[in-house]
Amino acid sequence: MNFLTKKSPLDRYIADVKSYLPAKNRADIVEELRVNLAEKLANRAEDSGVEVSEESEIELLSEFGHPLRLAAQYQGEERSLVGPTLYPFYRMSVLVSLVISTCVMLSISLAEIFFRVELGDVSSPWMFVNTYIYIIGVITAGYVLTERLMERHNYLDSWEPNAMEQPDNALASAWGALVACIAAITWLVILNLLSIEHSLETLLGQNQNPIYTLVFWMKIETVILIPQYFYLVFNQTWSRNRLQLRIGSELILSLGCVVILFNNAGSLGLNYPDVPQSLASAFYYVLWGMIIATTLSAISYWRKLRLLEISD
Amino acid sequence: MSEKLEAMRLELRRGILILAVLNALKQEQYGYSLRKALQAVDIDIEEGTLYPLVRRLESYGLLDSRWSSEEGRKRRYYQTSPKGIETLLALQTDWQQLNKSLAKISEANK
Repeated sequence: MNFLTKKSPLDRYIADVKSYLPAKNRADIVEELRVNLAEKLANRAEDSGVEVSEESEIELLSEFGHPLRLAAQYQGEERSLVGPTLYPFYRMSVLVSLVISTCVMLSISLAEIFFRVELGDVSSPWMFVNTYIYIIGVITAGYVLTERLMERHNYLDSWEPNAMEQPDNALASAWGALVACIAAITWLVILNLLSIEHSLETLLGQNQNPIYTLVFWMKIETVILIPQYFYLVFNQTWSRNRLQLRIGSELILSLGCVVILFNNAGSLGLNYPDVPQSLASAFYYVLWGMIIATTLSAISYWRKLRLLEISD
Repeated sequence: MSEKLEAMRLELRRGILILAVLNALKQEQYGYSLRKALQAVDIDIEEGTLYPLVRRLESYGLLDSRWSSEEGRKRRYYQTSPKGIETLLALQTDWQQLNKSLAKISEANK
């Protein structure tokens, strides 16, 4: 057979199905499929008195459906990257991250237009596309890993009814809130030890010092948190507004990390030449870790909010 | 609604098909003859669904199979294995129980 030999629809169909099958048992499955199809064609021809033709092959193949669908039937159990259990969280994480990154990129673009801030190549139109692909890829990988770990450790099977959250009494005590309040104030004092310029440039990461930008965003988050903790000392129940504020404060820090990641994360080594290159590179992972942690925290508060709304 | 109904029909039939195939294959058959045997008792199943299903049941150890060349035709024959018979009996018991329960619900809500 040479390259110009025309293959019958049946041969092309079988070759197509074969290309979609896993290596294990592939030859056997294809052989059986060929035998079954040929026999059915022959029987049809015998019944109708019309010889097997290209048309009769096409008619039969249309009954079998797309080769990809047939091959999928042989694969057995349905598979997906993120299953229905985690899908609502996955969808929300992607949506929130896309909204945050869009806000950041729009802020950067607006800063460039209105404040004449020099941003280099970060404001190119491809920044949006690249960022979306990157974010979706990282979140998908995270959820795929989480789902596989949950399966491996039978997380959902080891569930206990006692572990369910109380939507209206999620905080331990007034003392807990007081400790949290003191800790937040102390944290703010510590952050203030580092004298930074509270400017738009610092906030948007245009100051060539990512640590200053990170501190600025942390201060904003802490300032939002302190009144919340203070209020919780006197009233330990969650209200809808407080949960929304909490989600907002988590997302603010996440937003700050994204800003740094996009703008001045790479200039850490310039400001601190004594810092080894490996540590400067690790800063990227720290930022990603903070983004993931704050997003997960926001999701957990969103979950509380949903429980609260449902129980109302 | 017809699409939803079709999807529900498919879902309903999916589990029953296993019962039907395990039952039909108590006697050795090859793919095409199995389909004819099922059609003869008004179970019309697409071959694109039946052949992969048979393969899956075989991979679970519920069917035994062998290649054979009889009358000059090469065919792959399947038969319900001892493990398959055991599974079939268990599934049939469940099925009968479900049928009884459905009848009771239907009777109670007439």
